[in-house]
Amino acid sequence: MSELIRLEKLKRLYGAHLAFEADEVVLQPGVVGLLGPNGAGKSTLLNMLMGLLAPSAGRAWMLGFDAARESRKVRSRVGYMPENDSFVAGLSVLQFVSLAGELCGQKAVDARRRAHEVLSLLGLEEARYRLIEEQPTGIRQRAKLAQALINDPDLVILDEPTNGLDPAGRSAMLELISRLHREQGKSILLSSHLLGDVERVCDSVVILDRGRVLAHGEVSELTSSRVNSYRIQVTGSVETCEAVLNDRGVELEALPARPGAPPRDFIATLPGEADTSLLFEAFAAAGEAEPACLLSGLQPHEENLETIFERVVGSASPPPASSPPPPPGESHG
Amino acid sequence: MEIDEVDLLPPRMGATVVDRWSISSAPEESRSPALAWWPVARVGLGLVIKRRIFKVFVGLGLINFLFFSAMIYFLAGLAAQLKGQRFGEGPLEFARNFIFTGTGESFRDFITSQNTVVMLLLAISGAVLVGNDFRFRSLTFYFSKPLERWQYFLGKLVATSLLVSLLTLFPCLALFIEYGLFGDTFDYFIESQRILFGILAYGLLVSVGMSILLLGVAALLQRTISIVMVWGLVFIFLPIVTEVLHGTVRGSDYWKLLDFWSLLQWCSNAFFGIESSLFSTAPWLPVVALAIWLGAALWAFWHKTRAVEVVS
Repeated sequence: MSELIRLEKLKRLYGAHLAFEADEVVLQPGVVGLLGPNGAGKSTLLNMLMGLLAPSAGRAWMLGFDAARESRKVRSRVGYMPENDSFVAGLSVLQFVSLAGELCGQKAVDARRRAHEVLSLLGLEEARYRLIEEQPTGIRQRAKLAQALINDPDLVILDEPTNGLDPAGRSAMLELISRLHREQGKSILLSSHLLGDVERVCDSVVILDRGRVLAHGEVSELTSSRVNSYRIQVTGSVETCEAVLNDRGVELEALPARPGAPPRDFIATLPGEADTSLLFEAFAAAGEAEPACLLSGLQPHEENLETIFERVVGSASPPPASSPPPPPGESHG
Repeated sequence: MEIDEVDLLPPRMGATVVDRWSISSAPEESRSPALAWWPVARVGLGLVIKRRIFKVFVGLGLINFLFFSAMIYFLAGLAAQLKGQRFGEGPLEFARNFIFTGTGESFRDFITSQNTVVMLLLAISGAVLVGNDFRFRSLTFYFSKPLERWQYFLGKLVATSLLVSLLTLFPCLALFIEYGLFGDTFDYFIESQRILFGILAYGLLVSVGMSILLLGVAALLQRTISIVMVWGLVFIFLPIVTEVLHGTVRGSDYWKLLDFWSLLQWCSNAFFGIESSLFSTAPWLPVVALAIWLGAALWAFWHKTRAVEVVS
């Protein structure tokens, strides 16, 4: 498997409303996090990738198959764990997972054997003969994961897999996901609002907002892109501070402050190979300027997924005011 | 390979199931993609069959079938005993006319009498077969698999049609065969091809027609109580109203077009070649009315399944 997902000028419109747009995105196999606030376009993208929604323009490939034209092949090789409960009422856990196998084209006897194996893999041996709708959330979540694994998929799409789980259950589910990749070699596309979950298990992320791909790549790459950054706190004139730092080629980004108050916290990205001596030199000059500005705090800026997300989504331009909402009943996640 | 924990399950032949995290690879697809509807049908059928209420309705349907079957046996026995006796033909002819004659009318009446049980069975089964799929979001599960919407529809249609056929078409065919076998010769089978056609055509129409109607109603309403109410409206209240209107507004058969039973009856007469004065309208009108009924149900089902979002 060379590429997990490839998007080329992919676009989906609902009337005049842009639900998703991406110029060119290539994701390699691994554990990929799909991040974005509500309405960012995550569901639209997943629907298009599984061939359930036709793009307005462009093309998408999943596991090397054209998602729109080879939808059936895509769904045969992908396991999807939905966010909400979706069961066939009246079936036991084993029957439910077996049915998933049969729907993927396996013979009933093969599907049943495979279901036993997958349920054992996920620690559901004792629950297998119980009615699925009567099981607690943790078991239902695992049963949903089991039905996604029944066809031995190359890619497992997990939509909010830790929804409704207590901290212990959440931790166990994340460990399960990690092991699926580590020990079973599955690629995973994890869509979640919980940045901590994504950071814990994902190698790379795609950040979406208002239907656009704002950033994508490996988490380590996204963080190292600002490796020479420092978080600084200043007192005195912010204008002087900005002037002396800009003169020395330092990029300054203000962090959110109290409403009405001037920013005091900044992220300063130093140019090239420069080190902190550049900052000290700049603030020595700022201290002698009129009005003066003093450096009151300095620490290396270590980005995590949450700060990357806030930075990327926060810096994105607001949507055009004329964009009408999508029509009711149509996907616009 | 490290052995962390020995699996308690017997390994699949040829697979290397030795530790908990090493499972056999999934078997290759062995069924044609076009047959993906079959698991949907089998599971749907299984869900209804394992309900106690299903056994009650099958029992009710069986009583009717056993009565007809016993009457055929009784007539055959009576014919054998009265054969060659003086005045033997008279009582036999009387019994044949009174009970079961092996004609198109008798088989039509058998299926029609079973329709009441079928109607009740479907009213109760609608939620199990289709309604729950919407309520429990099973459609998300189905459509995330390599299953198209038409295959889901076909699966549900086959499941429901088999249920209906179990009470109408199959027992009627059994009666037809029984009647033919009890004759002196097998000429009955050769001479009664029109009857066989009528049984097959009417049986299929009842099975498929009522199934489509149920799929539409169940997809729209989903809960048993709502389905039973609409079912009662269609099959009990509407025939009464149309009968009253037909009697009040004289000379107009158009009201009867609203009655699903009358439409089925008209079709059955056409299939068995029985002359009927049920409708004095143009002969294509009942066909169009039936098509509208079924078309509306199909549209409702399609509309509801189309609105399902797999990823939402």
